[in-house]
Amino acid sequence: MLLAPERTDSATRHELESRLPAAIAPGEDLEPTRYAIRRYLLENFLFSEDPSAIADDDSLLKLGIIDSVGALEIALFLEENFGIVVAPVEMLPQNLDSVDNLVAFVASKQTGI
Amino acid sequence: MCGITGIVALVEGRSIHEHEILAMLAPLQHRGPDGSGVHLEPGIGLGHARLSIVDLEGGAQPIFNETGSICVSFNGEIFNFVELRDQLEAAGHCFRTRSDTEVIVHAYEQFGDDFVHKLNGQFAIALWDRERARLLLARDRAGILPLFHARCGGRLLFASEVKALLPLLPAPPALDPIALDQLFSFWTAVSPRTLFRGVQQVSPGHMLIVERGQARDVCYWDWQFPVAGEWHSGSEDALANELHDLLADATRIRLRADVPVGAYLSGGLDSSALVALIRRNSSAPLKTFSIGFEDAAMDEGKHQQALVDALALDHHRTLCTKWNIGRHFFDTIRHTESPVLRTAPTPMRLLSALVHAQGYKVVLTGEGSDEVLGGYDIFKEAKIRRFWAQQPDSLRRAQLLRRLYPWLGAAAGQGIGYLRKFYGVGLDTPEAPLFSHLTRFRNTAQCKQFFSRDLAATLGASAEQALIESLPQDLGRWHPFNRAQYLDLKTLLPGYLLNCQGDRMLMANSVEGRFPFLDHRVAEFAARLHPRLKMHALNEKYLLKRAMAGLVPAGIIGRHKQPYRAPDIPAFFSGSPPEYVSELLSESSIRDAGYFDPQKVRLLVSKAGQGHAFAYKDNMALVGILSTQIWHHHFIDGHGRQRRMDRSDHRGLAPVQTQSG
Repeated sequence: MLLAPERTDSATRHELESRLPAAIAPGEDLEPTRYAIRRYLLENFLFSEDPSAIADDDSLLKLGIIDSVGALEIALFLEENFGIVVAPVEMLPQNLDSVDNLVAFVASKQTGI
Repeated sequence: MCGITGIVALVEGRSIHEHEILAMLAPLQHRGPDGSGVHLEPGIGLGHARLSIVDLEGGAQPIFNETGSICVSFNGEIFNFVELRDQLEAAGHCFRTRSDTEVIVHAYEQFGDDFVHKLNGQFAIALWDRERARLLLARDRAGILPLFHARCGGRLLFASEVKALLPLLPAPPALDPIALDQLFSFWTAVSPRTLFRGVQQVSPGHMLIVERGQARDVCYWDWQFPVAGEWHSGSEDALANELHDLLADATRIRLRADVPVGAYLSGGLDSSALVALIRRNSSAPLKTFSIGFEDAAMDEGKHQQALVDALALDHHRTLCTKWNIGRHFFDTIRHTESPVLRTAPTPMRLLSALVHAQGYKVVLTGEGSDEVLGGYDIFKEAKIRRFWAQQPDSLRRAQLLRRLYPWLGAAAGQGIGYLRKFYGVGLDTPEAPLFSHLTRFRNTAQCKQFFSRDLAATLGASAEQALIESLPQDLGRWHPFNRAQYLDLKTLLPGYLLNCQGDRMLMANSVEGRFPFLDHRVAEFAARLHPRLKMHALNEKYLLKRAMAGLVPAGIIGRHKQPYRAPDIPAFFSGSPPEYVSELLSESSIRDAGYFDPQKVRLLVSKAGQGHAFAYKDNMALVGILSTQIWHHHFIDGHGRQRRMDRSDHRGLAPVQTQSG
């Protein structure tokens, strides 16, 4: 059932990072977008701080971690954090259904491709 | 309605004391504030807490037959007691009271165990037959009233609520992990299991017969559907008329009481139909009651008002705020005696408080109509999924999913790709027994990711497997629509709607609910209606709408069905949340109780606290975890506290009638 989003506050990236254990602190080999997306999915859908809980090509739908409004949550996260606008027609699994797809989608939106 | 308690010896010579029956009655005072009674004799003790509704003077219980050899303690109502009494008097039975309870005693004498088939009503019965040294516990067909039992020290304890058994259990109770696993799939444990290890319930439509130290479970009634096309014949008009007449009579006999009867009014078709039927058949003033919400998406006020205006009702309404829910949810769980996945019971408790404050003890409600006559969206979902499963690649068929939950699809702006993936679960096995409910069950089961490793490790066979094993053999031969109905009729309806959201919330304020749509004559008639008369294309409760045309305003008949829901996470995480929330969800409380993973719960709570958790699944998980923690606080942590309280309490409880024989 959809509830009206009631956003009381939104932690800044700095606040979030300061709370993170070393295990998912940004690795040097991880690009910032991928890191932020992974961290968001781990904390908000897998409720885990273990980076191995999700692979970059895992389908979020198949893992069962996205319910019928989960895609909307992800879209809001993208809009708030990456300065992009997600149109309803773009709410597709090929854009939103894995870390890899999300990273590619954000990159394409940011470069306007 | 009332509360019943008792103890029967399973081993000869086990003694039963009056103070024990009184200790069991003390926690049930909310069910029966108008008086109490105890009966003791070798081998049995019966207790009764009374809410007087029929025969205010003569209806005290336990009640006996002419020779005193049969004794009954009874919670509920027998609505056809007038007709049954005439029949029994004609057969030579002598009645000493005007109460419906006495009918049970004589019906048992006359018909033996088959007496239950004669009863039209809602009941939890404890009947002692002294000559056969035999106890019979019986529960009504649909499961409107609760009845629990536990074995302990060569005796069987039984009561209307688990909290009445707890004072006599030697050790603190424990959570049954299998029951929690089932609840986190189906919203309820699969009967006879309960959340308390070692405590069982008498299943709806069952009797438990205790004699010679053995307890035997007998199913006397179940929901049954045609296996070989034995649908009702006759025109739609004729069937609509028949349904109308049955409902009118089911409503008429449910107005029998020596106190005034009111009605719940949600603004939907079912409660409107009942109110319209009462209005047409009775000139007595009718009070109606409804609940309102701050959130316009949940509030049905304007539909309620339309009916109030059309029928000139004496209407009373209470507003349930997020704050109300947050504050009262804690006590709600003491009444449900079970975790819940939604806050929706709490507003129902506020509603029964309104009824009580208005001086009313009895209300009619429309509960059961969606299950019996085909109103739920999940029946539409199953129908579309099944149609789609025949051509899984068809985009056109998948597009039908957009017609489900229109408020949700529109708001979420979901692409068809998501709908296909989300609703496509189990599409390759449309004949599987749980097919209709798989999307819901699997989505709910996501809450289990929060189980602690220790709890998860104790789980064996899957919850779905246990449910499948509880289903009747004929299920696979029924129409798929009937299979979906059966699943709801056996899980959500008795386990959650009639119990957590029904009886427990009504009885918390000493109010009795009556359910005309669950009259077994209506149920048995509806079972043989062809599914297209329940769901005509995607038009739900089709025949009921036809039966009520002209009686209920067209605007209400034409409404898209709105499910009853209440604020969940916002009740606990907006404004100033109640203190118990942070306390019971703290890492140390979660760790101490041991059911959930403290780290995962911390992340969920943090998500909720930031206002980011509005997915259905997150709401269910949070409410489920919080209510499990509250349950633990009340019943496991609080066990020693409760025992001390009950011991001091029962001294002040003077039975109005104490008999020994």
